[in-house]
Amino acid sequence: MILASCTPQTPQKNTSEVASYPFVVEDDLINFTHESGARGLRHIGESVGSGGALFDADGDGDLDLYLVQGTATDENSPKKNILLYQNDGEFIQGEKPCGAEDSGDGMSCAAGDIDNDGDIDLYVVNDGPDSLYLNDGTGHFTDVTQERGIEMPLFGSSICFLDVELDGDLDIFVGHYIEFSIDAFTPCLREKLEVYCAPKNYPGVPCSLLINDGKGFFSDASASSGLASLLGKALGVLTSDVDGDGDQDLYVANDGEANFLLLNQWKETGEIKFIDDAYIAGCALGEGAKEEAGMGVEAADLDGDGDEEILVTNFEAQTNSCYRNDGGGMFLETSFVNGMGPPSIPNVAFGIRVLDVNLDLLPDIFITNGHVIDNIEKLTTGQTLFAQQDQLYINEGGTFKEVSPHLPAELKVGRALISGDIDNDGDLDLISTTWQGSPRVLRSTSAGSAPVIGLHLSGDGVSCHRDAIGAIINYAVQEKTITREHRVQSSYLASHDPRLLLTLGPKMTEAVVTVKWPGGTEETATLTAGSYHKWVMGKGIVSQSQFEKPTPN
Amino acid sequence: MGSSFVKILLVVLVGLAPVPQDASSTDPRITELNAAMQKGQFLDVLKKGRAILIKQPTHPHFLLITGAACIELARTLKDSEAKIQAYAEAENLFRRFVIVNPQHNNSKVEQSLARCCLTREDWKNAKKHAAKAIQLSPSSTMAHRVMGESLSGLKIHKEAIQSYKKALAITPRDVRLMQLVQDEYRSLRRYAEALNFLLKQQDNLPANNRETATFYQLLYRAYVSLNDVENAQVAISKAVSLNPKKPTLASEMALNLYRLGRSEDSRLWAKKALTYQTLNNDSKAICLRILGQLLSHEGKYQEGLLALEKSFQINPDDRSTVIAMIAALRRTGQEERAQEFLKKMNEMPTDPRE
Repeated sequence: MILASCTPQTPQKNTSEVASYPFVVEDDLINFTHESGARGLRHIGESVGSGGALFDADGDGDLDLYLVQGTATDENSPKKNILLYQNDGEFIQGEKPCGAEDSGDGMSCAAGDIDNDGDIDLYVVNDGPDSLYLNDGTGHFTDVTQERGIEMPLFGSSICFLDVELDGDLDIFVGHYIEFSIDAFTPCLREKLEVYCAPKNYPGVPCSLLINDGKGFFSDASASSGLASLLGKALGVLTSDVDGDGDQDLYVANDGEANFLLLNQWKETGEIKFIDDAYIAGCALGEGAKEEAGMGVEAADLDGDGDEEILVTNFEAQTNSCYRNDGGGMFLETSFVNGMGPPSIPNVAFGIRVLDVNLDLLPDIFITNGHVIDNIEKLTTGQTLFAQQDQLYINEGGTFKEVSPHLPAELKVGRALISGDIDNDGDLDLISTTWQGSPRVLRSTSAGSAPVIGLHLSGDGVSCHRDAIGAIINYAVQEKTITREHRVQSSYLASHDPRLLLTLGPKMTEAVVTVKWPGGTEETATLTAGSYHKWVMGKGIVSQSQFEKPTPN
Repeated sequence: MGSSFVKILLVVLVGLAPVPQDASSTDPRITELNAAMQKGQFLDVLKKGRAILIKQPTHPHFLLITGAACIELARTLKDSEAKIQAYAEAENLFRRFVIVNPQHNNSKVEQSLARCCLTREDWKNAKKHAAKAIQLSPSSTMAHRVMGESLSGLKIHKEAIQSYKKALAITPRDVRLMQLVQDEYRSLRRYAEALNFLLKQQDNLPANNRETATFYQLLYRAYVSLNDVENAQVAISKAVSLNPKKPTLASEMALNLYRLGRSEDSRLWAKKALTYQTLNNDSKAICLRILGQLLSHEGKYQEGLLALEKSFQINPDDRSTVIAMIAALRRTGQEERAQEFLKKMNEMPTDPRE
């Protein structure tokens, strides 16, 4: 890492000044340093990772943080993923190993109740064999990879859980990046300088689909689902019911290749099959009809018309893509006309998260950036930086305006962006992982500035998996209906807090919320602002906990 | 070949060619052809020169003036094959001159030979003639320039930059030379250095507005290469203010405003650019595409499609146009045509990431 490139400004915390920014940066909260395994050879895999997950591992009601470690820089010392349990606002390691330390070259993970026993398990994606860990309910894990039928040896990237065939359990979709062999590696040069090779130097690989038998045992359906014949260079993946037919489709951001829109055929044919429809749908290519370097991916209803736009972060000289969903399976790339394009062009963007940072009912966009070429500053005589700034795009009702998300802070080489209400105060905080650095906590300052409902959905574990991924949430505010689709994995190498935060209008104290569970069952309840509500399918609200008082900035 | 080069070449060839004094002063045909050259009657000069050279194939003055006319005519030819042939004829005439006058000391002749070699991409011989041209006239801008072009053809970009910079040291306000330097930096993917180089040239801007506008157009492109669309906008605006009637400036203005999300301004400039009769086809296609895209973004797909189809007719290889057409066709219920265009797009060469 080129420290000279960073901006070593220590922000002076003036309370009024801090409050005017949506986030406060906390760079020293998490005791973890990412190791990429970079030993001077510049293997492409070193530049990609790593991510993590925010979830309640030990069931104590607050979010814990699992961080995926890349590869030990010192080849003689083992690398370890870590689980940091939150205790009184601090993230600390347990006294005994969590059991999910993993020995692979880590990229990402997904958290979800794979075995349907009411606690949250972990799937770890590696550059090499992946791992599945089951939680014993106390935040301690057991490696069950082999016995559960997981054999994923490819170079993985992002992952998402979904219920492909709506049978009430979680299946697994794993994005794979490239085929890379150390033995066949030859360095890439630019201006006589060795640089990380671009993905075009390597063949693409297919993504994989693992189907759950209902008891947490998996079979590989990559070939039979049609995915094995689709070669790509996946980095970002997410679920979304793009065609509104009630089953979960998939979107894959490929690096240097056309993106995939994988339409699930379950509802149409009763078969586990996916068809790539991205080209004709208009969400395969970026601005200028180019195969861009897709990294992170996110979906949200940005224009309030009830369906979700798809957002993809891309390399420098490319805009981050915003595919407007026009319904009927038709998307239109709009990054230049909605104001998102120009500010994104100079950056290499990775993590992305849509959230309502100013609680004005309009979803905003946070993006974390960082170059992949560690010596880029030498190559561009300082014109392009390796460490890059975070970006926040405020939704102004159709167009976006870039604003500073926080006080000036040290520039970081951003990668994953994970969201969660870390302090349970009713706003969404962020954690961005950084290449060869410590994760940055971005604590939201918006709590209390508007009424918000917290929602924790849980399927019944029979007809709907407990994570309720794919549930559609509707509620009315100011004569308009706000629609959200529930997902836990998105962004880049990230697994988020599974809870949802629903912003209300200024004087509202409650809202009628409808949940359409995967499978189609609908339930309605009136929820009050200021609390998290645990809503179990078929049982309604089973518990409620008030938001914590916002932390003074 | 740039028009300035041709003018210089003509002046030198006509005025300084090593023609025996007695012959040139007494031969009325020379006076006649010189006058015709001055009037731009190149075809006339070529025909008469050829006729004379049939009878006097080694006459130095007629070899030079006919060769010069040939180059000037070649410049105007649109058919690439004919152009190559014209340069080949010019080269033949200059070579004959060198054979007849092996001890000649006319740098311009070597420059012309280098130019002819450049047109047929014979970089090695072009470099040889350029070197001789420099040896005969080290302070000749054009000699250094053709050396730069030869080196560029040989892909020795760093040395090409040095040659162009030598030429610029002699003629510091030559915007075409600045462009050539910028092109070399781009070949080396040294976009930041290209920008820094141009920024340093701001003290040497040409006196006339048209040339200065071209400089700012170069600056605009340098900023675009570095993804700095804001400063690119400042540069292109300056270029437009200096040369408001240059069609490509209007189209680049439209494109950058589109990038900036300034849809209404972009639309106005695209429309303005399209009013120019002399707007080149590439720019015309871009402007029509922008208009089509803007209409599509507003949901006016039928109108948008009309503009996009016109753009496609001019440039059927533009993937952006085709993808915008697919979107508009689907939204106007023309699924079958959308599929046809999708097939077309998939057959087009891709523009891979660098």
